[in-house]
Amino acid sequence: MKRKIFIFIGVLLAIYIVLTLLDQGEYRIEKQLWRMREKYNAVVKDPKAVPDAQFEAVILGYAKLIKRYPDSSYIPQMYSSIGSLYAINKRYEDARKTFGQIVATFADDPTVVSKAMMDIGATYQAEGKQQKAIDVYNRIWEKYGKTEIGFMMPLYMAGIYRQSGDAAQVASYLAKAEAFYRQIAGDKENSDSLRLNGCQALATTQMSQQNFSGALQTLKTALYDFADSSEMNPKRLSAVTRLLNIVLIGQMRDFDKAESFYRDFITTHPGHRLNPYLEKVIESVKVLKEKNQTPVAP
Amino acid sequence: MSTKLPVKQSLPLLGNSISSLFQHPKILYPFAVIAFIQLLFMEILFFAPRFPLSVLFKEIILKLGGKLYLHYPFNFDLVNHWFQSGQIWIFLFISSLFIGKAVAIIAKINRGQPVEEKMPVIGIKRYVNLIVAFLIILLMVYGFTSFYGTIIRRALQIRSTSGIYFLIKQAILIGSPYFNLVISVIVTTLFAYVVPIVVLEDRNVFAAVWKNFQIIWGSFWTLLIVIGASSMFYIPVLLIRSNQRWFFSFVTPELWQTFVIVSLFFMLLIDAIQYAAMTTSYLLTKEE
Repeated sequence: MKRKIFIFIGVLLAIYIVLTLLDQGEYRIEKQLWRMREKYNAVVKDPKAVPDAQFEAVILGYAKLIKRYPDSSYIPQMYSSIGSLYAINKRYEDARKTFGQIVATFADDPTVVSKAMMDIGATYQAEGKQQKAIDVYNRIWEKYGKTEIGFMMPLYMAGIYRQSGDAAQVASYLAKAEAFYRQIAGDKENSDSLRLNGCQALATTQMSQQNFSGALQTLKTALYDFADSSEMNPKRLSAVTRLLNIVLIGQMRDFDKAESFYRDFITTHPGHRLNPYLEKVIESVKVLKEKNQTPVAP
Repeated sequence: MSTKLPVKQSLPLLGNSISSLFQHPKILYPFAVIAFIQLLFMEILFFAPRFPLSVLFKEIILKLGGKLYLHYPFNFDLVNHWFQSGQIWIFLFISSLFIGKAVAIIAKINRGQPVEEKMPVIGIKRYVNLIVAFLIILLMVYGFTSFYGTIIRRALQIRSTSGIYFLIKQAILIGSPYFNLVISVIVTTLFAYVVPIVVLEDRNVFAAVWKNFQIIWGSFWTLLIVIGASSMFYIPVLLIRSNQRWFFSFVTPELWQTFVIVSLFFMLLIDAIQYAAMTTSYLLTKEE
């Protein structure tokens, strides 16, 4: 019996060793990155209480990982963590150098580059150099407008100017945003996902411009034109109806119009897969009407 | 007429069961096989998101779990969730067979018969009856835990944040794993003799269940104490599992997985003690 138990242990160990050796993937890197992430989180939890030596140790840890695994797909993430640590430690020049390295090394990857440029802009903002930050954000918008980060840039910049109280720039960027998102939403060459994102962002822009009837029309287009698209999934539908409720109920204060809006869709699209959800929305509108409450903005 | 086993015999029975594992380690061999199969299954799940097993499993993981489970440390969640789901099949088709073999070994030892190196053979008929017996036990436990699930759902509707209702709610929610343990103890005791009857008397499972309920009452409380006492060794495991989130804040995923593996061994050891006790009790109390 003892022999057989040793055989069992041997088989399990052999399988473990063989499969570990055969694995050429990034599991090992992910494991080490996770441990580095724990150290990173310990540092950023209370950066003022952390000695410089600890910051340096974590930065060195990431640098060692970059040197050991230069071909890993996690390299941008490692550089980004180093840059963030510099930024948290207020070493903004070093942070920008690190983020700049990502931009230079991964010039062919728009998603990675737009994120790195966003981080560069954030360091300028942290230093109070708003115009330099805006210049960076404009470049992201120009070159990488269809990435997730680039897509939100016009609204993001309008938000920055809103915070600094520059109403003229806010209006200017909202106008540019409206044109941009209208073009994205209307371009049939774009994927349904991008066009729907465009519709949602356009509606948000119009709401910021206090153009609620325009927002309503945009959201109606989003719902009607994309009802049969696979992109109109539950998460998307929930986001669209939330925006509709904010416009119809939150701003226009018209519960009956909200109810009839959804009822119109159900009537014109009998048996549609979206109808059960819209019926639930109608019910919640009725409840809100009874309590005379308004939906909370996202 | 069956012999009664008085309650005062419970501790000697428990002690005898534990000591028999040390004196006759061959009893543990079938449980070692169960442990090997469980660990092999866990190992396959551990390597499933990684090359070369990812060639087979990646699409399945993406469809059933999501992209997250392909990466560290969420692959451990995949291991544990899918292992729990697979445990039912291991319990029904693997544990039933090897526990049957363990019962046969225990019976031979109790009767003073020699135990061969090779495990006893369980024929197809007995194996099928064992599967059905374990399925009945599983369904009984599932039925009771589902009932408790209804109580939990009702408790969740309690909105009080202090006072007697809050205490009741907390007791029901926090006590869930311990209640499940109590259910398991009671059901195991109620069906204690089914497996020994199927294996040793070669009866079909329904006749075994019938005979079990004819003779169990003479030793029900004794066995309840023995099975309950041995199950107490699992309470530290339950305590740690109930506070999993807290432990995660300072243990690595590997350390937690080691704990999961150790708790598997714990469970098998408890099973070995319980089946030794149940088989011994059966041989002492069965009809002459």
